[in-house]
Amino acid sequence: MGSRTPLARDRTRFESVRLVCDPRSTTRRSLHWHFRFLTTSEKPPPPPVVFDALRNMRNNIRNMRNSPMLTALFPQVRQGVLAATLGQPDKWWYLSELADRLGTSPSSLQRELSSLVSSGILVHRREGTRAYFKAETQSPVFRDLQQLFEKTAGLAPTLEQLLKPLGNKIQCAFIYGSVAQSREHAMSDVDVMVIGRAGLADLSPALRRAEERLGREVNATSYSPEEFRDKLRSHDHFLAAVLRGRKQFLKGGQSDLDEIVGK
Amino acid sequence: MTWTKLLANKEAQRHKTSKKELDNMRALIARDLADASLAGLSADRRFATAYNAALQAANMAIACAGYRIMSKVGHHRVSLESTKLVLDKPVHNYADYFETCRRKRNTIDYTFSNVATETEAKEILVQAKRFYGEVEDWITKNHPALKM
Repeated sequence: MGSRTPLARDRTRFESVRLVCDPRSTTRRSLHWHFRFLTTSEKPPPPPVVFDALRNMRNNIRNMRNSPMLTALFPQVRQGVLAATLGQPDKWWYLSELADRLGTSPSSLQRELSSLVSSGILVHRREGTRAYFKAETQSPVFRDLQQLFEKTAGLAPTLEQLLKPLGNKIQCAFIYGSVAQSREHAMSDVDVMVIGRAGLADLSPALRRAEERLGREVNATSYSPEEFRDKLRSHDHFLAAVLRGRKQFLKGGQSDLDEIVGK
Repeated sequence: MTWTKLLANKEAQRHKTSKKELDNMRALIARDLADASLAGLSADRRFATAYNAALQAANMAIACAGYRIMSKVGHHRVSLESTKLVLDKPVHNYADYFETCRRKRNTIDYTFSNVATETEAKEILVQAKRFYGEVEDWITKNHPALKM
């Protein structure tokens, strides 16, 4: 950071610096970030909603990398390529877009991509100097591979999609337990905590569909925001343990959870 | 799931019910719904008791249709699922809901304590009452001789 920045001019005036994403300047391809300087008297603004979406996306990608079953089956880079292409089978991925998503360099993907294309799992097309890749949906193993990834790496996105129709009835929802910690085994249940006005009666149809697609039991625990807050204040040890552990958010994020708790 | 398959797998048997048998079940449901409303009980116990009322309501419908679910491993799941063979389609969502509750109730009764939340205990009581109401309406419409 150069000497022209306000922080350098008067360090005492600023208590904290936040890196914020400006949703108005968000384009399809890039997000514009800038620093915001907060004075000692200025209260930090609530994090923008876009943060939760980004955090969830980052966590989901991290989970894709950490699925123990996939790690046993495929090397890391191939897992990432297959999770991205099978997760959005109609999308043509530009090489560097895929590399960005997986947090690697385009050159490190080349060998995996050419091997997946030559085996007929991916298809490839060229536009000028640009190379695009996509899942080969006509492949005889396409559906099987897609299901494998849906049941492992795609667990959170699948649940997220199925809970979406419940809209504002859910304030916050997340996976906890062994699946969230990537310590699950083949028979592990998926534990989901839901806070809001959606009860088990609202959730059951979505849970049944999720179980059919994921081939695992999905067990939900539902709380009204009031009960959630009260139980935390009375130091409920189950809730405290869940909140201390790793979570994969399906709706909302840590800021929503903090808001419910009243932090 | 069909009755033919359930009979072949010995998961169900043919059964002719009576008004007396149904009235006994009604008394049992009334007791459980009353107990599940008691504020002094834990959320777990209220939840499990309301679940039992719903299960008995499912068994009433099955009995009126001329069957009884055999008492063997998984018979609660079969009872709830087979209400879809008996009751009208709008009521089928209850089967999915009570199946979710069945698993929770198993955990409550055999594995852990403090499983059901207050929110869930209140909800299942409301849902069990509604489901029982639907079953009584169905009996009145389809088996008037057996109605309350």
